[in-house]
Amino acid sequence: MLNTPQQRTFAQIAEELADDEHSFPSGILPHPQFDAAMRTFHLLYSSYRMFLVVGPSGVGKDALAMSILSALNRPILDSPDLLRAVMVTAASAQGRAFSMLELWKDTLYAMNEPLVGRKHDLDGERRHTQEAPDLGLTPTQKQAKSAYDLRRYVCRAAKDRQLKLLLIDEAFAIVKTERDRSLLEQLDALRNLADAAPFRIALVSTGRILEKFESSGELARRMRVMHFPRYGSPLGTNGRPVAHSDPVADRKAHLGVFVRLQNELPESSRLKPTPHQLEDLYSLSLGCVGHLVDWCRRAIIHCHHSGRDQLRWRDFTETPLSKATLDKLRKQSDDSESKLQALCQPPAFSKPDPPPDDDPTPPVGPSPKKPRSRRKGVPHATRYGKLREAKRNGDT
Amino acid sequence: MKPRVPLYGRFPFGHGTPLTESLTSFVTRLSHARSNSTTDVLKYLVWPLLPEPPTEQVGWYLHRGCADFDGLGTLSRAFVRAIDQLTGRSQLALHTLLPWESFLNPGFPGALHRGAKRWCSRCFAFWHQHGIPAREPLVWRVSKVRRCPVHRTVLSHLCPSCGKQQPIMNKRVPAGVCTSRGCGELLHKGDPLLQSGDVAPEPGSDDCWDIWTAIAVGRMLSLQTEMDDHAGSFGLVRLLVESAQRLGEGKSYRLAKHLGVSYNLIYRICDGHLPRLDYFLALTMRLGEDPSEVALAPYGTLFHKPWASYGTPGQPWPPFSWSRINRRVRYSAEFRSGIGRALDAATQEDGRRSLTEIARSLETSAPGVRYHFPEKAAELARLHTARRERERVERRAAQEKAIRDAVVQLVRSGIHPIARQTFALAGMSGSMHVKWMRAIWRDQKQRCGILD
Repeated sequence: MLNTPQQRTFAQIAEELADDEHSFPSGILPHPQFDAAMRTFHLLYSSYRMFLVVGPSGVGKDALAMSILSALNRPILDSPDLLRAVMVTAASAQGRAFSMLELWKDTLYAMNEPLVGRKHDLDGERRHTQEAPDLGLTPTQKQAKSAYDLRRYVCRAAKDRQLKLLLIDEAFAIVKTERDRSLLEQLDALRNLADAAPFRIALVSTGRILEKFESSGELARRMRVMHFPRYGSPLGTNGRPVAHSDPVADRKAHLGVFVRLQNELPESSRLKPTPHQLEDLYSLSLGCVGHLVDWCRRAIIHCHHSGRDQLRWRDFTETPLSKATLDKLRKQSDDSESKLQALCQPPAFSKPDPPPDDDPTPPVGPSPKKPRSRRKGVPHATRYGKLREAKRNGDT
Repeated sequence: MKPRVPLYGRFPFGHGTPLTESLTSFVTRLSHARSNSTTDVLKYLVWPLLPEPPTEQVGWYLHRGCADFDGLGTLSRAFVRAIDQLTGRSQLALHTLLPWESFLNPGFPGALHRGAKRWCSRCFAFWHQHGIPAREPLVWRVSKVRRCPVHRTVLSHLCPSCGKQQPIMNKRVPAGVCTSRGCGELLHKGDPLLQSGDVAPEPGSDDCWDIWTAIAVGRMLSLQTEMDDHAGSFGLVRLLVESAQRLGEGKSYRLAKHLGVSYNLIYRICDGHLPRLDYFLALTMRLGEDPSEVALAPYGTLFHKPWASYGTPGQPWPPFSWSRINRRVRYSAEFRSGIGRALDAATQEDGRRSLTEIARSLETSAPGVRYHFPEKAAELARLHTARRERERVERRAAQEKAIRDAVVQLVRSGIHPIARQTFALAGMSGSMHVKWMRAIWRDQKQRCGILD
């Protein structure tokens, strides 16, 4: 049985964090940006067959994906047959170029499909299919090897598993091709699958994927984009500038995550940071919660290896990301935000939108008479009134 | 999140009905649903989960060994446990004969049919017509069942299109389709049994026994859940004791004589031994009881009501003699006419196939065929013997000629014709009929004037 967080000592937590498989005991830490991203994801999930989740590195995209996975595969549906969401990675572990065949194979493995390499071809004799479609197909001896065959197996397995969502992580690998045509074909294949199968496809990627979107209008038209912003970002989850940005609130929310991380530790082991240190924690983690969590993890492990059980600021100053890395990450996130802003910027309409307070529905019946101002001593700004006043003053 | 099972997407059919799907049929459907062959699923998924790896090849289990999986015994229990694990389901044992272990002898391997697949064409046609996935019920696999419990038609065992037998588990094709390469027709297509209506059996006829057996076994299979929980051997013992009081004046040997069975059988059952399925069915039928009620009877229940719900109303069951029961199972009128036709065809082929081969292809035995068709069988045996003798003479002459040519060739080459070289030159294997070939070899050497 697992210990509760209060019962764990600092050394236990540090040893578990040293293993990459373990995270903080509380798991995923919800925070305002995460909640906003989750709401937008839910909106897109309920409206579109395929969409893209973009965000800078370390902002918490994987945490979002894992949270959605666990929410869809919640214990109430914990039947050994059903599987509501799976996540696969588009980037090849061997560093090879992306191929749809590998993606379908990974999807089948993620769905725990048996004997993927020994499946037979389904294009058998059509006779029985026409006569008795419910009997199933009569397969031939040929082994299934093409991506088309595997895609059909994915479709069939998804129907049997009642799959609702396929999350494709590291989706920039799909667009990492020189030819726009093959890229469009691959995305068409994904879209066709999403249309044929009863599930949605969500591509999760950093802003690198937007380079192709910038150059191909056709691609940009086909894909709905959702932004998972970092704290301090000028853009919202729809990729447009935020109307009322509040840097102080962003900073508070970001540092609230740090406070909650500290609460996982025993009280005697916690750091009591000064305002300057808090400012450093915010600025050197680039407003990304993932970077902050990783930094805290490194600091705790450093503290444990130093033979202490109380965090000091020195543990943080010795374990930050390097300046070059931070500069690169900052530049990447700035670039992708500017690209995303350009991509999501609405066109100029001939007639501007009415202000949000106005009632958009026109009134029924005759238009009501405009009420006259009841303030005394203020002349009506009518043309007639102005002319009369000018005549009185002697101007012609 | 619990790990998801590899075999999914299908449910076993017919639970609680006479047409309860057999476990092997369920495994076959699961394999096909995942686009894998049954062989691969057995070899790579099921075999590693068995406590002891099977000794036979996978193909043998597809054709003959399914009785070990669906029947009674340790292998069946291990198979059920493996499929439970692979599908995440429970109670799959109800799709085998394992619930009958408490009142049937598990050591008797003949409860399930080990030959070719048998099926009801009318069931397949009905499922096909209504778009229901075809499956293979367990009742078709029970060895004593020769008719469908629902339609009462005789179970087919040859494809109407190509005339070939089918393996019990299909490797790749779905149930209800012929597995022969180049055929692939639906197994009910063109079957003359589809045209026949419901059978109205004459009391005392062979069909009556067949229908009674099919319905009784179907009823037992429909009560698998109760069988699993409450069945026992008390009922049969109690029935025999009570019947001995009623019919045999308290003497077991008199009851045995009345029933036409051996005294030893009744003695052993009353002594606590479990009977075989065919004995169990025969005894319950002769005593006019429902087998499922006998199996489910709690200890102390007295049988007082005659069981007449399955027979023709108002007609008592005829007194069977035990020695004729097996023959009655085998030789219904339709089956006899099929044997007659097969014998006629074999006679026209000038005895190319033996009586034993024909009997095996019809799932019966040569003595049984001889009993019912003595003249045709004798004629066929005469033709077959003559043909074999003719072939033997021809073969011997050909071998003599080949050995003689080899001896002559070796002598002309200046080589002494030893046996191994001679046989090798004649293109024969020395491992078979060695004595005979050596006799020919010596004879030919003598004729050539060569002495060792």
